[in-house]
Amino acid sequence: MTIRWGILLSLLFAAAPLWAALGDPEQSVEADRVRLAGQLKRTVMQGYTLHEITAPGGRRVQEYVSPAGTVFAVAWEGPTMPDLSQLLGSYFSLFQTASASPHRRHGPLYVQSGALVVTSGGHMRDFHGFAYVTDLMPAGVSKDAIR
Amino acid sequence: MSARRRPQSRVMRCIPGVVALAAGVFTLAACGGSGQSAAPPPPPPPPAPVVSLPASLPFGPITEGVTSAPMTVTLTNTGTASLTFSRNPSLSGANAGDFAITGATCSTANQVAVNAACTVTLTFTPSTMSMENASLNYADNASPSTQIVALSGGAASAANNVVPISVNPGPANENVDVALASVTICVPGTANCQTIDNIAVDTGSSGLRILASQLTLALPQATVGGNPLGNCVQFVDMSYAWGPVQTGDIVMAGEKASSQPIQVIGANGFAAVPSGANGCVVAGGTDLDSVLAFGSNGIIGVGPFRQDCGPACVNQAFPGTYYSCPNNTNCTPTTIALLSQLQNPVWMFPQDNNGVLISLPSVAAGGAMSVSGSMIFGIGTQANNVLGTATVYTTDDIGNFTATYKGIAYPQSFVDSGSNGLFFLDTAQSGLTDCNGQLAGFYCSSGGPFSVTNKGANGVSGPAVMFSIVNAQTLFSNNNSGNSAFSNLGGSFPGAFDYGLAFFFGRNVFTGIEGQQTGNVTGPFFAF
Repeated sequence: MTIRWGILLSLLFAAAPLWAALGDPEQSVEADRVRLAGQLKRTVMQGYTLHEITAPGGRRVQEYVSPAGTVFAVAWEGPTMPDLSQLLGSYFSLFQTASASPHRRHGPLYVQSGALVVTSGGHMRDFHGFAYVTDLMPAGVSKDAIR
Repeated sequence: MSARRRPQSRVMRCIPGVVALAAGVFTLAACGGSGQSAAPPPPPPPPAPVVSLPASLPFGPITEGVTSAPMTVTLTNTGTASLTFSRNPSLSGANAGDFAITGATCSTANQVAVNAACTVTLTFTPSTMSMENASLNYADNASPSTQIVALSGGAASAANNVVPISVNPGPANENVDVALASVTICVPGTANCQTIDNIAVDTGSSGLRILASQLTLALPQATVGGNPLGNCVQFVDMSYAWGPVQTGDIVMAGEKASSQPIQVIGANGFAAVPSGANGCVVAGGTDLDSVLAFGSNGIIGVGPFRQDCGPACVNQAFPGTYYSCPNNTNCTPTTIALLSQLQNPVWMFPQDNNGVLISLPSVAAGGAMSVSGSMIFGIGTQANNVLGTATVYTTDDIGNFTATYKGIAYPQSFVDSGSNGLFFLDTAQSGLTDCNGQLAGFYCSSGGPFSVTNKGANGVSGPAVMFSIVNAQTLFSNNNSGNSAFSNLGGSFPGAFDYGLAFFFGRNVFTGIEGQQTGNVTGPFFAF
């Protein structure tokens, strides 16, 4: 019994990554759909697969998955800020270090640090942005595809 | 309405032997003395009174609730018989109650002889800040037997819709391109008021938010479902602010928005900022709970929407917006009625309520230490806020229009006075380089002019806008140290054009509010 409970708990926790994060496997996308209570649309694009989750209240998350099955980019839009610590996963600390900025700047964030590029902008009622990792970009896919 | 005057043309005829008529003397000489035959004389016009009056009486700018100096309307009888009144002069019309007759020699007790005059003295005490109108009515034995003088008055005629704004380093002495204004807040329905200066003017949000440390008034706490109401605001740079919603009157220039929800940031004794999955805290972001962190004493959102969250929050409890805080603890996201949300105060004004014009003068290429301009309420409602040659770009339902640069369309573009620079493109597209370190986020090379065309959701395109970027390091260098107003400060923002405050210098930039009418256009829109 103990072992079975342990397996069950670990399965539950396995579903716990609430967002597919940069660098995570494709399977994590489903966890996001559940979390957002949204509709998932999967579209095969030239060189990658686009998973688009549309949720109530105008929230939308796009996850770009390489042929190798890795999330190499994410994009978001909605009425409130998403949790970038979850969306960026292991890249978040790099982002945070690079985004530490002086008070004098008000406006969108744009961070380019190593292979990581993140932008977060918009205004009240429209928070949008994207992040990608150049190292994980499939060959032949342009960064302009990510919006 | 013009004064009524009976036609007084008199046809002169040669009437031999008749040298005098009731109204004048005609001489035979006028007819050349020829003595030629003439038609029989017509009967002389009967004597009659003729009333001469001004068409209108405008009262100048009067503060709400204050009685004007008396003004006098003079009636002159230019006719040929005495004028008698069938009743005393009286007031009528929509706002007759705010005008008063304080004295009159025009009355049923007095006749007005030929070429004599009588007067009516009036005062005006505006009870609203709207334009007010009424009529002063006379009834007498002239023809026609009634006359009207149009009365008008109110704060409106004062163009009392202008709030001075200033771009300066602000209370934390480090702002660049932040426009600041003073806002007066009152305990609802009372004269217990406080004016707070250094409030950032933001076309990218809606609602008034004040740092608790700057507020000395005790305002009533707003509730939802009987519990204290909390509000969270998150900004795109991952900063956030939290505090209770309290209720106050918001007064700016001659305009007043009564009993408005106001976020009081960092209030002592209120529930701690909610964190976690449904929280207000943005992971890794900055809590703007002090003047130093905020860079101003608060922010006034005068953007294109009536509310901060709007209809989305009526039906769905969004983390990061409104919270119910039973016992001032354990706040959880709550749905919230539209009018319980923070309002763009402009649309709550009784007049000049369809939007704002922000007008800032040009600045030199190196910037300026401080720049003064105006926030003017209303669009096309007064002589000082006409659209003129500005192009109106309606926005989509989240406040964006389309900017196009070098053939690429950026449909999530917007005007945001709360962004300081011009944020657009990235280094590959702009040919500029990014700053590092303390200036990260700005462009650290100079370039341009960039020519960008914009198109509204209504399909209307305007002439290209042009702007240049100067290396932020140069702008902030010792040479310009202390300057806080720059028209050419910029930074990377791939994916959209964010026309921040730098864009406003030397332009009239209008923000039209959703559902509010400007001519034949309905907001939301931006115009420049």
